[in-house]
Amino acid sequence: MKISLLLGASLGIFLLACQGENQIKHEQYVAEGFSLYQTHCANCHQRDGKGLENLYPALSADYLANKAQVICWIKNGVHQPMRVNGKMYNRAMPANPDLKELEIAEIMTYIYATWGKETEITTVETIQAALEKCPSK
Amino acid sequence: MKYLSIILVASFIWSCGGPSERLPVLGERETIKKTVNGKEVIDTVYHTIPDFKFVNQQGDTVTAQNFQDKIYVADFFFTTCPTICPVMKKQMKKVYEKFKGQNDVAILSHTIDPEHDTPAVLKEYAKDLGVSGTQWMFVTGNREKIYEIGEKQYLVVAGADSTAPGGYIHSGAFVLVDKQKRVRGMYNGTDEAGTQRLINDIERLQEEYKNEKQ
Repeated sequence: MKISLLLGASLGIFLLACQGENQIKHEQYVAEGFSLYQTHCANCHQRDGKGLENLYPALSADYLANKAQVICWIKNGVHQPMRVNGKMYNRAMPANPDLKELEIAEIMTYIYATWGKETEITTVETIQAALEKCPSK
Repeated sequence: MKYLSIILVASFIWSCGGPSERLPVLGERETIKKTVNGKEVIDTVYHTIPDFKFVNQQGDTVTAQNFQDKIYVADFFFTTCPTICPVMKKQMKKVYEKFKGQNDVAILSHTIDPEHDTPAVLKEYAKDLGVSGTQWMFVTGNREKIYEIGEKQYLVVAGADSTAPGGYIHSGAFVLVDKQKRVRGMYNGTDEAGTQRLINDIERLQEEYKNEKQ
């Protein structure tokens, strides 16, 4: 009995170590990002990220191509027409001035893990650097 | 014993094959006394949607007359809404696709931001949503009239609220109205279950009218 407990515990520690700190952090960001996405993004872009008809674009590869730009869109909104998957979309996207840098990092991590198949987090430093260079509104 | 089994079978058939339960009529009602053929009878007067006058996405005037002999679904939204409207429109699109081309069913979406949502803006919104023709009407008009018909007649909340995202607060309800302009159901337009219940109830209403004609 004692031995099996010991075995179980060491197996647990082994697995935890294997999973790695980065992976745990990635999963935390994805989990937080998921819930923030539901609150701030999913109404228009939908839970499955496919958008809605010709009203709101899908989070497709071309939409996600430029990370720094996506970060600016999330924070400041979009106020000009854009082409996604060959279709023009010209409905404004609202800004999210209240989102903190960490929250944007979590949303970015979730989006890129889900629709970009990325396994690394988008760091807060990346967010800060991108926001500094956003085109002025 | 033989009789008992006959009764049992009969009641079984009756309960299964009898007319399905009618949808309730919602809203306040009152009873009035009136005289029919010299006899005093009691009649129930139900809440009904009064006449209205708005302008649709084609720029045409729309009144209750446009919905004569139609079962219709009403809701409230605005085109720049970042919260529940896109979800409601996605769900309503399913209702639209389901009954597309059936001229006894219509949809009436009122904007609660008429200053921004002009007929031209609504037309583009409808087009981008993949809606053509006027089976699904998007209407704008006098702000006060829209809020009033929402709250007093369709029994949903609609109005300006500076603290709400997008500046307006409104209900996520779909309201089912029958051919006599009576409210027959309220549905949560932000979820799948509510939408499926609405589709189901529209079909039940169609069935009710079909049976009445026979």
